[in-house]
Amino acid sequence: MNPRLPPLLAALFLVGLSPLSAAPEPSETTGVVKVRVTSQAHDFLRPWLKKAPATREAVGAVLSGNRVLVTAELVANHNFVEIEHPDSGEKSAAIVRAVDYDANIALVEPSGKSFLPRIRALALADEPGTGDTVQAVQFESTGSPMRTPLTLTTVEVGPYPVSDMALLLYRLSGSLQYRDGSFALPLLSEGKLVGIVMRYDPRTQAADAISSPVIRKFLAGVARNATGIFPRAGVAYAPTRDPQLRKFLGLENGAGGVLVTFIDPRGPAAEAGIEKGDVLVDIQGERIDQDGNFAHPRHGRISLSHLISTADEKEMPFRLLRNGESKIVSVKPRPRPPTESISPPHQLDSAPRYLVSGGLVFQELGRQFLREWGASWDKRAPQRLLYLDRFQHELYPEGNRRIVFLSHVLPSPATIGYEHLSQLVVTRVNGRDIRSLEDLDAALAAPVDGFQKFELDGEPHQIVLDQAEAEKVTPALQRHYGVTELKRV
Amino acid sequence: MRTHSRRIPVLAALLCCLLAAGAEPSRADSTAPIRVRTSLVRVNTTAVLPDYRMPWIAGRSAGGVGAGFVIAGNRVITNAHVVSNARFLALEKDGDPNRWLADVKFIAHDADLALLEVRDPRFFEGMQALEFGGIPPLDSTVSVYGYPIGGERLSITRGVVSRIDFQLYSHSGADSHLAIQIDAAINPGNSGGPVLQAGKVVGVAFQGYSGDVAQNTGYMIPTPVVRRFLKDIEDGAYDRYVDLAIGYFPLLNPAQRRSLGLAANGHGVLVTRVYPQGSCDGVLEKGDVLIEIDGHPVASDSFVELEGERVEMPEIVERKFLGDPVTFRILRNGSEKTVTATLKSAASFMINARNYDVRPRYVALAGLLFQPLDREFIETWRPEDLRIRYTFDEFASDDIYLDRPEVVVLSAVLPDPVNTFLAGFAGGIVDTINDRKIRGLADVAAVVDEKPERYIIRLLGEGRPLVLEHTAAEEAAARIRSRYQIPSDRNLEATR
Repeated sequence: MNPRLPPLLAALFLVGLSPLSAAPEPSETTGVVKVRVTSQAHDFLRPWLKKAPATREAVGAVLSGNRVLVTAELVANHNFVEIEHPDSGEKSAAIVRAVDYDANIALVEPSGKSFLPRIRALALADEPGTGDTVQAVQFESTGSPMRTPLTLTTVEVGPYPVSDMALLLYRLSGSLQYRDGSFALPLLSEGKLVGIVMRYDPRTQAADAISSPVIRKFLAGVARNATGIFPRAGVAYAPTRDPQLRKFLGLENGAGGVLVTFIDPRGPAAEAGIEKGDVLVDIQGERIDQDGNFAHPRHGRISLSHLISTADEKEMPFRLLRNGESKIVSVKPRPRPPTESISPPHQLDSAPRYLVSGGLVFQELGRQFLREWGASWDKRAPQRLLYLDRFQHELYPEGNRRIVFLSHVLPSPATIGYEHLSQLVVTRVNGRDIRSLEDLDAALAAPVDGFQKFELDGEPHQIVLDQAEAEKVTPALQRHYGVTELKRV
Repeated sequence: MRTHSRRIPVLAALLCCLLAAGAEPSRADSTAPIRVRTSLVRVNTTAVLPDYRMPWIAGRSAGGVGAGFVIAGNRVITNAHVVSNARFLALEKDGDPNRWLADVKFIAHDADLALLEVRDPRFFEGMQALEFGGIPPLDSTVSVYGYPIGGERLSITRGVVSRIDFQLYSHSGADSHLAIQIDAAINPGNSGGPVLQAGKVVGVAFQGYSGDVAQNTGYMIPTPVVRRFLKDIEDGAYDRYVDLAIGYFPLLNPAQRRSLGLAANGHGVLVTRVYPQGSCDGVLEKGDVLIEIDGHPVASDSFVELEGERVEMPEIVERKFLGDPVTFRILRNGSEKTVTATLKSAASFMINARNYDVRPRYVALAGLLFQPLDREFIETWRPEDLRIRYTFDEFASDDIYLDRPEVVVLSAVLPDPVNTFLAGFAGGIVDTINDRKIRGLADVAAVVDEKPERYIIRLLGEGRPLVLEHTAAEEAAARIRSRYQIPSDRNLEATR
């Protein structure tokens, strides 16, 4: 379309044309709606603020029970969710019923009860196999659905975009054209829902989709009001293909098994007594090969983590080799909410915690803070904080704590000489150990001789505020820097 | 502390051009002042630059041109970077077709200065030694002599003294000393040339910014730094600069001053860290307030007054030598006391300095290449791995050097059937081999020399051990040696 066309004319043009285009049969607009979400992320660099709002639009999959399935990324930090009927253009406000960031998936529900029943709900398809052709659904500007065939090339366990979890993923290939409102797209097979496209790279024409077992597991979890849905065992492993390694471990040449290289000290595997150096040879009767795969009845070799992440939360027998002895332990995998981490892998939909004292701004370390450094945050964010986040299990094996740090200083009469300090971990305040912002808040209530004494991990190692002065400068500080609230703990 | 200051290396461009400059004979400009013409030396060098990616080879050779000048005692002074890694030095002087072979007698990489010895004493016939002056005042005019790009003959440029300040000396990349900024053009080939005022040397031209960073900013090494170098070598050896090896924090905050029991007199800085094994280890403590250094009151912004100028506190130490004492007046736990430290070099921070005049050190075992983590390693391999970068950057501040004086990295795996499953582990830091903690490259070599049945190599943060059977490694050794042309499985000595 000519971009110089005045908007009014453009509208007339479209309105004039639409009767001529083949009006879709009501039965054909099966199971898809437009979902428009206005999000406003919290600003982790100025934790008392939100960033500018932004609106994104996606195609949602209509399920029975007045529900629409979209990606979690779409609804993250939402202020307002709206569903639009593709044919009538009728709109309804909606609420987010459930969201799971591990699986990047969410359910939204229109507030108008009469809204969705007029659209036929999608059933869940059986699992597709590699080589199958499936359809991604977008909307033309006319509102009619556009279906693009994509070929399923690979089924594997891979990283999902928000959390640090790896789940079963569909990799697809095909030429997906650009259309507005394509932030996430349902993937259909013979009119049934088989996945949700969450990433597309136009250069390689490769798309990644949430797989149907993940969708099923999510819906089952929502049905029983689970808070976390995808269980983990808390174990990392390495392949044992190397014959020199096998010989050292005392493994027979033809046999399978992977070497346990890391145990989450507070995870289910640790509780079950699995140790670093054990060789994991089978899970629930499924033989594990030398690369850590089991034989999936439909997809062939699939990573053992799929066995765990799709399991119900019940005891699973793990067979191990330890010093040549076979051993069976019972592991009960469970989901790990991000708040259980020392440095949480993500924090969406909730405001960052912080505390401002006399101009010193304190926060708790999390990957959401580090992500403020943009797409290559894992290289550009402050190195010391990246290191603490990446190696948190190694550095704080005792767990059950947060990492509190001085994120920056708002210059005030109380912070003279401290203006350039930033990204310094707080170890003790007024003689008390600091393992969370609550600890800091409590410590600040007990100044020593009228001073707030902060001990930091890194130069200059110690700074001091005058308690009375800090309080005196606070109103002006709040006014000057727009700090609406002094703390959110 | 100063040894940690990170500024943009400015010499890089200069150095490249310097080495790329042609080595044609020249005749001095007859209009140049007669005194300088009979003191100036053109230094032709052929250097061999080591290759840290293939540490077993000699490296590529490169020719270059710099300047130098004659000083008292039939000696020639130039920049360290002009003659670093040099294998062949030939000097030229004005109106003389001969090439005079020379050798490096003393070299100070931390001060970018070198002293050359000419093999044939007849070189000095008709040459006049230049004398040193002091620090030229700001806005006074100076002349720079040398052989910069743009022609073959002597070039003279003139400018004013723009700034006198501490600067990073980019030749080592880890040392900051006093430097004088001038607005005369200093270009590749000027390096090592004298900067004169009223017939006396007031500096040695040494570095500048490349034109796309800043214009008309050249730097010279001032005479206090040159004099210190000449004094240091009087005993026949160059000992390097000494360092307090402490961290300190200006005490500008009134509340912090009061909490430390200090008066509002604007004096004193807080000692925030005393580096173990450094000069002040056992003398100063974290939490001490430095009130005076060698009788000079330390202002709360860490400046002291020296010969009528306000300079940063470490300037006091800049003029001292290995083994010299330095005395502090400190406030500790509310009471004042006087303590004395004996100065030494900050060896633990040398991971940050570039290496020169040494062959790269390594151990190769079954195609696994082990190298020490240092600046050359970082600049050669440019690792993106967070653990390596962190270990390099925090080597001094996190006391890593106490635990591992030399961090050894599995830098590369040269593909061979013996190591085909180990390719992905390149870039890991070696923790132990056969349960021996690796605290240096020599530990790796020692395990190899024991000829164990197998090597169990454990990398930091990696739960999977790297296993190499000795027989398999032996069998692969000759194959790898000939395929990859590795003449020796190791070089442990930091020598040429």
